[in-house]
Amino acid sequence: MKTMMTSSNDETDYFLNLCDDPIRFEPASAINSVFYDECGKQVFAVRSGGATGVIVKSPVKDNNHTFQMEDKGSLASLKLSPDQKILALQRHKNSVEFLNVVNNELSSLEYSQQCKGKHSIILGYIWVSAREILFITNNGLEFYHVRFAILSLSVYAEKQSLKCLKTLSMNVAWYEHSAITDTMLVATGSAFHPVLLCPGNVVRLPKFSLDSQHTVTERDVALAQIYGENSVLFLKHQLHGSVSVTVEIVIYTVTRETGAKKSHVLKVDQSGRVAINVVDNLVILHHQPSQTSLTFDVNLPGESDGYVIYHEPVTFPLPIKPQELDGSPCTLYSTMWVAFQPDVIIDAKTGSLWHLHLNLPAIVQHITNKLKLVQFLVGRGGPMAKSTLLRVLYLSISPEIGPGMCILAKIFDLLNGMYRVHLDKTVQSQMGLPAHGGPKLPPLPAQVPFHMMVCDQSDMYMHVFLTLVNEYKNTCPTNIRSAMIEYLRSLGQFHIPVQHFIIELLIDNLVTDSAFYQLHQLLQYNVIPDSKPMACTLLALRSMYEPAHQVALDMLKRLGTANEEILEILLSNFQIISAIRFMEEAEGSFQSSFAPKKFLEAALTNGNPLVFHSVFKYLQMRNLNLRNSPEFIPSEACDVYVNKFMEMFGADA
Amino acid sequence: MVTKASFTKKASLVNFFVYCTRYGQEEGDEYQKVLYYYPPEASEDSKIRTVGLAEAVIRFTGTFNCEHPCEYLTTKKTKQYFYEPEPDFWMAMTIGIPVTEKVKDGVSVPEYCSEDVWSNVYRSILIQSYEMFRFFMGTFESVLTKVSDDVNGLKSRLEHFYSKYVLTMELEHASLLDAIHGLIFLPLDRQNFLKIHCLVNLLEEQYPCARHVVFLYNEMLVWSGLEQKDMQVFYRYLTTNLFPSCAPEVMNSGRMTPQAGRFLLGPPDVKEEENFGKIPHVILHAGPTPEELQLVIYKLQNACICIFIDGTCRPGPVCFPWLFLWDIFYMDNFIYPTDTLQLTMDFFRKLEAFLLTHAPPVVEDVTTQQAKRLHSAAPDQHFKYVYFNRTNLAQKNTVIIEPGDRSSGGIPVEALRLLPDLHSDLHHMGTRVEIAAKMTNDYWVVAKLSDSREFYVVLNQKSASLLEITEEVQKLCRSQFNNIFFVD
Repeated sequence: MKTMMTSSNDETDYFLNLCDDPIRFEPASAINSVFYDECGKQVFAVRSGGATGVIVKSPVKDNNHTFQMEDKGSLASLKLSPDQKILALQRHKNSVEFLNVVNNELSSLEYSQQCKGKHSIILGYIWVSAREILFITNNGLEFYHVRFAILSLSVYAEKQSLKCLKTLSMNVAWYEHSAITDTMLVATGSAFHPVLLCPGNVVRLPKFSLDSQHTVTERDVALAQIYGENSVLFLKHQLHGSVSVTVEIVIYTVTRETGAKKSHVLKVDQSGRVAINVVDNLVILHHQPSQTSLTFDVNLPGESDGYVIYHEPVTFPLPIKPQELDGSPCTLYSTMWVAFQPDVIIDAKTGSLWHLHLNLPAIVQHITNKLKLVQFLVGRGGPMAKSTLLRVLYLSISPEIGPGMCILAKIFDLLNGMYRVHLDKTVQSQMGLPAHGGPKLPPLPAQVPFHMMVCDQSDMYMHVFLTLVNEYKNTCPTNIRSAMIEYLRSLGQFHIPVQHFIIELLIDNLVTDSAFYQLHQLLQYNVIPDSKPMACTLLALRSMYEPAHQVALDMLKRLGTANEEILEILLSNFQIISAIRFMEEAEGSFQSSFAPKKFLEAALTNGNPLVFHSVFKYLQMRNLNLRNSPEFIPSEACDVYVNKFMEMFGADA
Repeated sequence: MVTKASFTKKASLVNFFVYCTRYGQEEGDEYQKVLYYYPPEASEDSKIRTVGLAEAVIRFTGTFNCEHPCEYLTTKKTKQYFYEPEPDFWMAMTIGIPVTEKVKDGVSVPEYCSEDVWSNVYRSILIQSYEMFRFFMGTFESVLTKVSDDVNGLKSRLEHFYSKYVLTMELEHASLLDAIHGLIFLPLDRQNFLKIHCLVNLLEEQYPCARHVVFLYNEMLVWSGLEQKDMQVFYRYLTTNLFPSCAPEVMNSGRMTPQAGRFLLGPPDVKEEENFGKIPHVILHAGPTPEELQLVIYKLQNACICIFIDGTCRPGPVCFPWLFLWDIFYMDNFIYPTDTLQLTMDFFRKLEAFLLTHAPPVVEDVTTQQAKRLHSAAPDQHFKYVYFNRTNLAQKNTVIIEPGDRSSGGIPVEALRLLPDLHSDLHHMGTRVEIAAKMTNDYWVVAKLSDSREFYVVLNQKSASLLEITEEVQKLCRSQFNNIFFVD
């Protein structure tokens, strides 16, 4: 165990790594221009203005294309429509040209759209949907519908191919756009407008401005989705002499209802070139001079002033895992790197596009505070997230290296709070959970990650407790038991009924340790819930711990549905008279399946003739009451006992 | 049953002694075998005679049954109990039989009521006196070993212990409860119990020197990390000795605030550097080998946290060996070897800080729940009972009010006096027994044994028949104990 923790190799050391198979394209050069479209996640390598080829590369295979087009001058940008049918490109300050894609080739017919204002300059354009495009000019937004038809020469009419749906006039200095959140941030001097792009409509939200006066450029802004929230990240710089020091990242959350609201501040304190990525809802800040990256998780608790939560980095600065490219070490944090949202890093010099990945298991050794680590992991998605979390839980309980019960209690409460929320959402009716607002339900986690990870009781059983119990079978350390008790307490805190297998494991542990008196106390205070299987478990313990028998009978009695079982137990103990009394008292519940044979058999095996005599006589009386005859009926199969009785006591006894 | 007039002379202690047959077997050396004798003012001669007589009785009766030595000897005025806790070591206790005055032919004559000195109750008291000694001092044999077989060392320890213990035995108040020797558990819901359990686990984890922890609330047991047998002795010490002696202190102590706690055993004030208070050594015997530990008790509001500390284990990260003199049990000038002690004032400060951080929320939750429970409790039960479960030693009692007035609750003393005999009868008759006894004054006492459970109930029903009483008891069992299974 310990060696696993301290061993260091490439796999476990680095928390961040670039994907193994970057998208390669021809590096930017005098004759080759490279463009990246964040919306379509496509790299466009344009050789000689397109004359010798436009190569489009994308992580989506179907979106890889090779085109040829006429060189009509230098290009400012290229973007394919989402359905890959129309290529929009910009060569002039006030117009955008369109080329249809027909049979994977660009149509030679080009049509173009000029922006409205005579003196407006198009800053950029965005495909909002397959047939809708938004122009952003320095004087406002223009929203167009593209009429798409297989254009033939006969209907060639450049002017009519686009129809203006809406215009919004505003001063635009620059803008940023996120295809994931369909949100745009428009800078108008010192203020910002969030703009929501929906098919058929463009909605401008109320403007807001940053508290400080310093100027913000588009390089300092990133738009991303963080825990399902539409977020705008501002890099805030401060000049220390002539050196710019990034002091913090300010995150605004944008909703249609409330507009933009300042919600988080990430404390950075680094100087020099930085870039932001967002991976698995984590904000990653790459710091070029130190060649390290900082990770932030806004889901972790931080200092709060009631409105804004201030966050420290999750770990100290860590480098990205060294990588090979074309057989030689790849230059990480190159000055040629450009980061795009959410997780794309492009090196135009080598012609590579990487996706940034998290190596979750590695984070385990970088966050020593186990509670923080668990809080961090529950927010993670991806295939490794849950197994890493369970591994951390396992380590947290392991003797010697665990963080202790105090932390463990908080970890369990965190997990079970989310478990409870999950149960409320899904299986409330099936589980028969007590309704909300029951007594003393602690406050549930206010902020539940939108892809909440749930560790239920079977996860805890299979991957944590059972594994631990098996591993430490011989030493049987008490802290595993303490952890299980703590887990039960936490489940109870959130009114989650405990499942049989957890209790069974706890009992096993107590029995292995011969801690019977402790077990008895748990039973006494009903920590071990009543059930037939539990009663059977206890009955089986009788040979080791005599009182378990009594407790098991009590449990069956409380269940109220186990009278048959009680009767069987009494008979197997040769408590025949008690069994008859019990049967009479619990009358009605099992008269139908009443088998006199069982009583006679037990009485006979018991070996006390007096008891056999009494039982026999009692049953005869019972027959008389029921059927007006002391005889047993054939189906009761009591002949052998009748003969035995006559043999022992004579026919007229 | 005959209603008796109250006693003119109650049961009293005539003598109490410990002797060892290894010593003083030569004529003239008899005094050597007497290890402890009460009353101390008895003459050497009478001590030797009493001990010699006891020895003779045991030896004589032993010729008839060497398997089971004589347990007690009844004479007209006394009843003498014998117990051999360890080979060759004998303890004996003589009880003066209570007396009533009877007027016969106009003359008042004393009548000795030997049936009111129940053998099971008083023998149990004798055995407990040994167990208490063993709890604080160890076995006689181990004490002898410790003092290099110097019998005077054992004598002085016996003297220190029993000279005070004998005075606390309260023989005139002896009752069924002394015979069953049960524990009273706090009725508590599952969640609060788990919280307490977790608190105890946390304490044991943070202080590995804390070998066992016992948690009580309102003098009732919630969690015991001790083995049952040790718990029984320890509980008796708490309820008959420590708690009664501490109660007035709490009232007078000026520094007590609802939030603060204090050490009942341990430093009275952790800010004082030198005063460690009383930290008794105890020896647990229920495990495979005797375990010698030091007992520290912290009281926080109504809760009592008893910590059994292994002095040989380093109690905390920072700990300087700090030798100090301390006393055992309530013997103030007794000096005990301090070679294993590691407990420093720093340790106690940390321990108190730990408890004040983690315990108050748990204790407050229990207090809230108890207040609710009391509020909703059924007013004044119409019947009085004693319940005892041998498997977990749980005891419930609404008949015998402890200590002082044991006949309150409107139950005639005669009914109470009957209980120990019924207890003994139950156990002689099998595993599932019911005995109903009718008193001359319309009172019925019903005793019921169901496997390991005992149930005694006192009923007052005018002109009831046996059948009606049996039904009534069944009804009570069903209503009061509906969560357990009484095998009839």
